Amino acid sequence: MNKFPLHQKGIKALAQQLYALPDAKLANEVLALRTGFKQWVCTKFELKPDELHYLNELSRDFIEYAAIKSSNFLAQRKAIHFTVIEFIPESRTKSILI
Amino acid sequence: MKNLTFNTYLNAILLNNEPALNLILSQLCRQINYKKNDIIYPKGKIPENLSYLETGNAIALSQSKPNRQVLRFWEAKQLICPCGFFNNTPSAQSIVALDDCLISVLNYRQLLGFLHDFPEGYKILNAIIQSEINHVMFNIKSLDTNRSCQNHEALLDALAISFDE
Repeated sequence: MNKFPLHQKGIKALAQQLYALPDAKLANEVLALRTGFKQWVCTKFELKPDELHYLNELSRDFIEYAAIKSSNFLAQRKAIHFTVIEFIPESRTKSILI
Repeated sequence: MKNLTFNTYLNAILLNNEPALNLILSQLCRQINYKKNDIIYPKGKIPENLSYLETGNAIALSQSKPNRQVLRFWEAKQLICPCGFFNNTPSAQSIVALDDCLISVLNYRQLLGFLHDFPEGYKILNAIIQSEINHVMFNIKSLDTNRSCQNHEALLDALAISFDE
């Protein structure tokens, strides 16, 4: 399976590919995601160095939470919406707030 | 390949609480075909599997003819938790295929391995046991209110149900 870019279109394309799988193969993906969240993300997405760094910095508790949530979505073939929160520099934020 | 529904059954009894684990567990099953009158669980043997009836119907009988007693019916999309499976004792009944059945079979070793890997999977086991208790309670009530054993006997004769003990 090819790697996908980490944005909404890439995730949608990956979901389409995964959701077309029969249950037996989808179960393998669900198992891999549930038991090895980081590794699964790395094998599925083209990650930029800062994205990879961010992934590696995530806490164990969050990884566990994300693994449960995302594998439950995957198992039910539910739509996945990916949102990027852009961090705006403080000075710019202030100007926007004013 | 037929559309297997054990996963759907697990999601229903767990109210969709653990869909990922349900899918993983359901895929550990293997499928077995039984012909009418085949013994799915023989009396006197410790049951090693849970059986989900994908298609077909099954019946628990105290013994073969004569003096057989019908103990329970299962229909498609129901789970057979044979007596003795959870307490590791020989079954006091034979469970027989009423017609051709396709069964998803989950062995206790696979179940134990799954629970070892996913301790939260005990929720699934609890839901299965709770569902089984509800069915047994319903069965006892219906036996209490409907004592017409002759009806069962006539039905079994009509279906030509018998098996070698």
